[in-house]
Amino acid sequence: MKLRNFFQGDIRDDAENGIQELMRAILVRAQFSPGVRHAIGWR
Amino acid sequence: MKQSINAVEGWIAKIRGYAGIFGLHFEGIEETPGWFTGSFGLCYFADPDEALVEHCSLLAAAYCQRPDYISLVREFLQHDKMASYFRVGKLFLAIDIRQRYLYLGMESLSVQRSIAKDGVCLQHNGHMVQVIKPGEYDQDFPALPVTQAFFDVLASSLVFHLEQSPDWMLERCFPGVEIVYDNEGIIRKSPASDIHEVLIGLGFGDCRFGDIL
Repeated sequence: MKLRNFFQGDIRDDAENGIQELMRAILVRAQFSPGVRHAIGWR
Repeated sequence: MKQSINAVEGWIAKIRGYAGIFGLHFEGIEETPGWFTGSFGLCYFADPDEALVEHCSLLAAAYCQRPDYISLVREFLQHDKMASYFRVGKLFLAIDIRQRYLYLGMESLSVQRSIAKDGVCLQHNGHMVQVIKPGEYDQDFPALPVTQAFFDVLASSLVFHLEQSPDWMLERCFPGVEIVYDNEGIIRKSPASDIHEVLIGLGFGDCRFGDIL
């Protein structure tokens, strides 16, 4: 699994912040590529 | 997309096919041995002009008509009750302790329904006006398709980032309930044969994902 493609954190350090950081990475990273963003379904 | 920061982190976002705005906010870590599982509340702030507003609760519909509605949505975590009035479902994001496997899940009722047992009357120009008749629906919101639409986009983003399709999928269906309230403030849940609760999960990696449910 290529987690490092989009997330460099370590959840074990702080699970509560880490899991929010992971969700943020999923949500935000796709926004930086307009073509991909729209193809996926974001607007 | 925008972050709405309060004590917890939240985001708002729009997706294709829906005129309203989705709000996602962190609710806490769930106990799952061997995993870190975060739960996130999902809201849908309907556009005041879309037909879905008719299916929102009276309280939510009243929010939609406020001139500062969009400002409230942008900072929805800072306004009491906004998240609960517009809630449509719950999302789960889990990663195993060694960070080798990921799980993304959702749960939602097919319909979020509340019934005003005694009806609802509001004062208008000095007169009491009945806005909901006794026994009629206050809310009858199709929460499942709305939640699933957002989940599909989120899952597609994860597939794109990981460069792989899910290795595992689960869909479970349970009997659902509706809410009945009266003028004395008594609220009870009642089984509803036409409502079901749906759980959908996707797993990434070769793992026994059923163990985290």
